[in-house]
This record gives sequence, structure tokens and C-alpha cells, in this order.
Amino acid sequence: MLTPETRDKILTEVERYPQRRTAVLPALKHAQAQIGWLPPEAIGEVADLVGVSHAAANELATFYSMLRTRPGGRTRVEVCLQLPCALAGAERLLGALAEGLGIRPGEATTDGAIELIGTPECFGACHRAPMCRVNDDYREHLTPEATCALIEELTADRRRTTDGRRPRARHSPSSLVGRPARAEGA
Amino acid sequence: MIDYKPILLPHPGRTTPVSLEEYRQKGGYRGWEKALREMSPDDVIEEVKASGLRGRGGAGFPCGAKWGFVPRIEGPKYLCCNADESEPGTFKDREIMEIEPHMLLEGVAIASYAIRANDAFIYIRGEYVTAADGLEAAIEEATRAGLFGADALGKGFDLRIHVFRGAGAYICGEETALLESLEGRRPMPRSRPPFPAVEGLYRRPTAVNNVETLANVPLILANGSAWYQTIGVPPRNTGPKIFCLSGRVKRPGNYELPLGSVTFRELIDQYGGGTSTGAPVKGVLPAGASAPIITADRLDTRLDYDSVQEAGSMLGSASLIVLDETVCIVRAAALMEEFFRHESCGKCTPCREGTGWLHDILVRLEGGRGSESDLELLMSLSGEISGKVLCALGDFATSPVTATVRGFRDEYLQHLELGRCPYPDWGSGAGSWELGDGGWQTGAHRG
Ligand SMILES: Cc1cc2nc3c(=O)[nH]c(=O)nc-3n(C[C@H](O)[C@H](O)[C@H](O)COP(=O)(O)O)c2cc1C
Ligand code: SF4
Ligand code: FES
Repeated sequence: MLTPETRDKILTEVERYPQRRTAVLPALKHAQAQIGWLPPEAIGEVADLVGVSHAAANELATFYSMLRTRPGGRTRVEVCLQLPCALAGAERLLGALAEGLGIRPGEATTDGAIELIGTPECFGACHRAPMCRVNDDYREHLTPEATCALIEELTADRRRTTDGRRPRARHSPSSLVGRPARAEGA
Repeated sequence: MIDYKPILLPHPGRTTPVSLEEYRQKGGYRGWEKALREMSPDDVIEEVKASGLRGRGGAGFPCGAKWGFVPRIEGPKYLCCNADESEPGTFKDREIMEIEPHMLLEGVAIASYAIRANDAFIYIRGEYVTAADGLEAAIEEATRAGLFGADALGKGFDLRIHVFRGAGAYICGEETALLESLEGRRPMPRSRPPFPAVEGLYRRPTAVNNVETLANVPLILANGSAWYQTIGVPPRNTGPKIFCLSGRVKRPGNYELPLGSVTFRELIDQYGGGTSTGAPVKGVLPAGASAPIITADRLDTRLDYDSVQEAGSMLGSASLIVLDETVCIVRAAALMEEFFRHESCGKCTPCREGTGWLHDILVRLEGGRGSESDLELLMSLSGEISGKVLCALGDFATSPVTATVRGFRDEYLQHLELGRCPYPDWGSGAGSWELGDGGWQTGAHRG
């Protein structure tokens, strides 16, 4: 199920390191970048390409939080809820995104476009809290205004990618309207 | 404020990486040139030993001594730069890599030469995509300029620097788990001995150093260890340190200052602008979630390795999370414990099961349920984990519990007396997200 391009990338990784097993993790990431997640057949194909047992690839696919062995939303919105972010309102940010997108944390929209996640992992952006990751992008300093804009952006993207099927999300969650912006620090 | 000009992060507020040209204009790669042209690998080790530089990744182990442990034998040896930075409240290595990639690469090169390693790996957490891309571009730039690669600077030393991206696991910051991850295995810590210096990556001699540690090295080589000793408090606390300030302060961010030059209170008030709520400080976590909380009566402790240790905690990665009087300490402890529960690699039963139990009990107490005997249970359970597991994560995981039960017992009991948490939500200071009208009900944390 891997495309020739992905297979090429994986073979390049195998060449790169002193031992081929080192290439399993980067190879799994290439496979996931193509498919969006790691179905068992993809894990097996990666293992065969790198030259390790299927179990050796599977034990990595099932360990790391950035590798996914189940399909999820095409756009992943991941809110950090760890202490520094929590102290700056991260739980409310998660709630606002949930309301704005019309889904609950841990769920994806029914069209599979957007998945919302709350996590206790810290992403190293605590000085710009609260924050979330949208796929690989850091969205920091998420004031209520910035969050409204983010919800707008996400739902607009979703309209574009779902062939005119309209999302039922509310764009400006009621409790966000009219909130003052936070005075930003360093 | 003290009179000090930052040298590790000399461009506050900057958002773009310093290019090779700019770095060299300001004297960059002079240390690397000096090492290759004028010094033997052992000279480099002696110079770094004389500087007093201690590891900035957490343990504060002397850097030169660590390099000295790598045996001078034939065959492959490796340098691994630990850029996994996943401790809650830590964002210093990110800024070094995003803004000063060549400073790190110069340090990586000098360290590799010192231990005679021809391959160096920068193990960077998978989420730091911008930093990893920037490092790869900088490596290419420097290699094209002849600084790295085969026969670097024409001095007969080959150096390949690889950027290896992780995939979301705090345990990969533990050095032996990092090596397992690099080898393509599940990142579960190894038992020691043998230590990585003797048997590390691919069972070959290896030195593992933090990003900030290595970023100090070019300055030591270029300016000499005597100059370096003038910064900080010699002999045991020399050099600059980046303090990551987060939580309830007006101006969170990275602040670079000489070790021992300021106290907790001075850093929070003079640099951080005081608490964001105006309420007094309740306590400070000096090393993210991993070291005991410093209570308000100890805020005049100086910020260096030995002073923080004397005050009963650890400077660690110097990630200061500030809690003010409006924050519920039980809830803060529960959140940190949730982190350890999530990040335990599962190899040792006490850590794998114990972190989950500790978290469950803390959530129960925070909700005003449970009983006073739960406090004894928390302490005895912590005793069954700490010191009885393979790596320091298990020990770290008990400090949010034991330090808060000891320092804030009354607050725990207050929850039980009221049958609920006395602090509404996260207290009154959640920045602009303060709602006051019930707010969002996410259930994400409160279960
Ligand atoms: C659970 C755990 C996580 C760690 N995370 C990191 C990390 O993200 N970065 C780091 O440099 N050191 C981390 N360390 C410390 C490393 O094991 C190691 O001591 C350090 O990288 C050595 O570098 P230094 O001597 O330059 O400080 C961690 C240790 C433990 C036990
Ligand atoms: S103490 Fe915890 S994290 Fe460390 S090896 Fe044991 S189970 Fe893994
Ligand atoms: S706590 Fe959220 S990024 Fe660090």
C-alpha cells in the first residue's frame, strides 16, 4: 500500500544510519505521512523494507504518541493541558474549541475532517500558553480572539475539503464574545 | 536587575535563525577552529573540565569528566545530543535550536572531537519540526563551507552530524532510553552499569549531552576556561544558565543569567514582573514536574545547583513553574501525576501501576472525596516506587505527591472537610480565559 515515493524515502533512511534498525522509526513516519495513520499492512511493509521483523516495527508503532494505529481526523487539533498551560486557561481553550467545532475532546467530526485532543504532554511552548498544535503547526498565545479566528480557519478549511458538506459548528462560541484580550508578556 | 549581557541567547525577541555568515561575523566557529588547529582531544577535555561546566539536562554532572570516561579505544564512538526537551515548563533548548543552530552545532562538533566520535546524533523531540528543519539546513550550510564532513577544516577529522526525530515520548529524554530509541527499539531505559560512556549507542562508547550544555562549549574554547570561571559562582556553579519561567507570572519566557546571581524571588519579581494575578506566590516548581516544590518561605534561595539542593529540591533543567495563592495545589499535583502516568514506559511494575494509583488518589482528594488515610497511602505508595525502579522517572513521579503532602497538608485536609475543592476551577487567574460564569465544562481533567 506504500507508494513508490514513500518506499524510496524509506530506502534512503535505511542507507543513512550505521545500523538499519535505526531507520524503522523514520520509516514509520514516512508511511504515516502518506496514509494518515498506520494500518497493520503498512507496518508490515515498512518492516519488510527496512529488513526487521513485523513485531519490531509494531512495537514502535504502538508505543509513540505521534504514531497512530487507528485512523483519526485529517486535521488533528491537540491542546496541551499540562500545568503551565492549565494555569493560563488551557481547559477553557479546549472547551471553546469543542463548542466551536461541535465535537467533544477525543472525537472527530463525522466527516473525519477534524479531530480534537486534549493531552497532558507539554510541547515546550509554556511561555506562550495556552496553545495547541494543528497537525505539526504550533498555535501559541491563544487568547479568546485568536481562538475564534482559529475556529473560523478550521471550519473554512473543512468546508473546502468536504465537497460542500456544511459543518454544523458554531463559529464564535457564545462565552468567547466580548472577552478582553490578555495582556501579553515577554 | 543585575548587569549581564546574554551569551547563549544573545538575540532576545528574535524569531529567525542566525545564519552561518552572521554567526561567523560575531566570532562563531572560532572555538571549533581552535580545537582542530591547536588542541588535542585531551586538551579540549581538560579545558572543559577546568571551566567547571555542569550538565544542563538535569543532573548537573560535570561535562568534562563525562567526556573523560569515554575510553580511548579504536572503532566507532558516538556523541548524542539530547534535544528531547519534554519536561513540563521547559522551552530553552527549543530557543537555542530555533535561533542559534550554529552555536549548538559548534558545540556538537567540539564534543565529538573531544571523544573522537565521527558520528554525532541530535535526538530531537518529534514535535520540534521547525527546530529540526533549521538544524538540518544549518548542518548542510556548515558542511558546504567545509566546517564538517570528511576532513573537516582540512585537519583530517571526519564528522557527520545526523538529526534524528523522536515521535512523542518523554522517556526518550532519559539517556539510555534515548539510545534504545536511536537503535530502533522501544525506548525503555537500560539497567546500569554498563554506563553509556562504555557501552552506549550500538554498544559502543557514547557521550550523551544536553543541548544547552553543548551550547556552552564553543564559548569555553574560544575565550578560555579562566574567562568562563568569571561567570557564576566558582568552582561548582559556573557559567550562564537559561531559566524557563512559566505559570502565573506577568512575563513568562527564557531568562539567561549567571548561575547563582539571582534568587527565586528576584527572578519572579524583577524579570517575570511578579505574579499575573497580583496574589502572593504559593510555591515554585524549580525543575518542571520533576523536583519537589519550593514553598514561599524559601524564595530567597539562590538559583544555582547547590543552593537549590540545600533548600531540599533540585535545579534540574531550571524550568520554574510559578503557582500563586489562587492555585489549588492538589489539582496541580494531580495534573503533574497525570503526566507521569501517561509517560511511564511500563518496564517496572511500581512505576507503571503506581503512577496510575497516585493519580487516581489525587483526583479523588481534589474532588473532596476520600479520607485522611489517603494521605498516608500516598506517602507509602511513593515509598514503594522511589528508589525501587530502573530510571529516575519513577523518582520524579513521586515528588509532586510527597512534597505537596508535606508542605500543604492543611490544604489537602481542607478539601476533605469541605467535600469539594475550595478553589474554583484554576482559581481566579487563568489569564484572559477567566470567565467567572461557570465557564467551559470540558470534563477533560475533572473526569
Ligand atoms: C525521565 C527523564 C527525562 C529526561 N529528559 C531529558 C531531556 O529532555 N533533555 C535532557 O537533556 N536530559 C534529560 N534527562 C537527563 C538525561 O538522562 C541525561 O542526564 C542528560 O541528557 C545528560 O546531559 P548533560 O550531562 O549535558 O546534562 C532526562 C532524564 C530522565 C530520567
Ligand atoms: S521507572 Fe518508570 S519510566 Fe523508568 S524504566 Fe521503570 S517503568 Fe520505565
Ligand atoms: S505546558 Fe503546555 S506547552 Fe508546556
